Amino acid sequence: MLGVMLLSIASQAAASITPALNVYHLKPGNADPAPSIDGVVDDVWSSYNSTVIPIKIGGEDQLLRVYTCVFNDFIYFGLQLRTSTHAGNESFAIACSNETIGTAPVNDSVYSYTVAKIVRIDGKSWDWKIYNRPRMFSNWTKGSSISGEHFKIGFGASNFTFYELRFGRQLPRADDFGGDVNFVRKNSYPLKIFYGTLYGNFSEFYAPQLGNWTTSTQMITLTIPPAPDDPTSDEIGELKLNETVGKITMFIVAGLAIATVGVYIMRTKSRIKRL
Amino acid sequence: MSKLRKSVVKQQERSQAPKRPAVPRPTAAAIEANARDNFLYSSAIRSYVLSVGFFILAVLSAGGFWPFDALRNIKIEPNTASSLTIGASYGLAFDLVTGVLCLALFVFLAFAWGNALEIRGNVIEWKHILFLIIVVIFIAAWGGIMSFGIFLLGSFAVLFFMWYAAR
Repeated sequence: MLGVMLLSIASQAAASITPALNVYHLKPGNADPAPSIDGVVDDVWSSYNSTVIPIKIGGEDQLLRVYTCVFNDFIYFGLQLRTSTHAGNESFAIACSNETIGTAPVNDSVYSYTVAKIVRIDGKSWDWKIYNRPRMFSNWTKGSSISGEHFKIGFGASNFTFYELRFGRQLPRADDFGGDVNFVRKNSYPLKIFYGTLYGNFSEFYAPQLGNWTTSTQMITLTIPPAPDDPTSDEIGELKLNETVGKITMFIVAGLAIATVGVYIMRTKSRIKRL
Repeated sequence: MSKLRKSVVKQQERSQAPKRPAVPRPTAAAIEANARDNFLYSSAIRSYVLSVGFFILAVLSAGGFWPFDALRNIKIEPNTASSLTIGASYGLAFDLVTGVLCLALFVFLAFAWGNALEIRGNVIEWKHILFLIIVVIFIAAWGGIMSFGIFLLGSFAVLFFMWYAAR
């Protein structure tokens, strides 16, 4: 009894010394059809899993619902934030590294990553590439801005903002000294979502200064799903399971029908007159 | 009373008791009908057992269950044309086997049910045959288009033959 109590006290003390680090997981599914970039949480988004991640905004804990899905060579993000008031220059940045999960530092600054991929978004549909040796950053699109087909922000009736984004999964940038994080199917990548209202001048070469952003989520792991036709994909697994269930159900029904005929035949024995 | 006396009394009682009416000997027609029914019944049982066997084999084959799963999933080298051809024909062969098994299941089940109906003084009708076709066609459909086609064509051929022979 005393041992159990001591163990309980020790575990509580340990927990208080090293607070548990929450790691959130984003497991996008293969979308078909792809969501339309219109700033609306439409049916395509609703049919996929979303992850709710806490984020501190203005000293208060808020919940950020993150939708993700993959369609061919694109990855889609939907960031839904519901707060009582939204800052006029509310912005999000998604930063991702190609470092191995577990070894990547969980840091509020993307500068801590050796290679990172960032995007900064706000109502003006803008992003910027940062290149700063030896740390390399690149944006997620080929151009210097996110065009309408890649980004749309929606304002919902229930006081929420919905940032809908589409990025290429793989963007070779050898001429920019590398630095791209290419999302390979089945691989996992560390990711962070930053929130800010105090960003600097857009035209700064080294902007946005993610380290100066107000707040960020805990570390998130993003796992790119296998291709839909890959035997290991969830879609194929689900299809196979449904097929097996359907098959077995059908065979059981057929078996019962045949058994009924058998019972009918067995009962015929009593109809034969004894001599 | 001595034992000898007792047995004499019992014998007297038995002889005085009313005699049971004699069971009439079955007629030759009744014996023949009984033999026919017994033959139909044993034939129905045999056909039913066979059809159950074919049902199990058809389900295993159509569903791709053991041992048919291993036989069906032949390794195909995607870059080898001959391997692809072998794999395709191998799969078709199993679809064909499934179709034949389904056809055998249908025929033997129809025989069994028909015999049982005959013992009861009925004959197998279109509704019974339709019921059997519907039951078996679901199994055949799982075996692929080949097995489905073979069962459908085969069952119509069998029905046509029966209709032609009986008309």
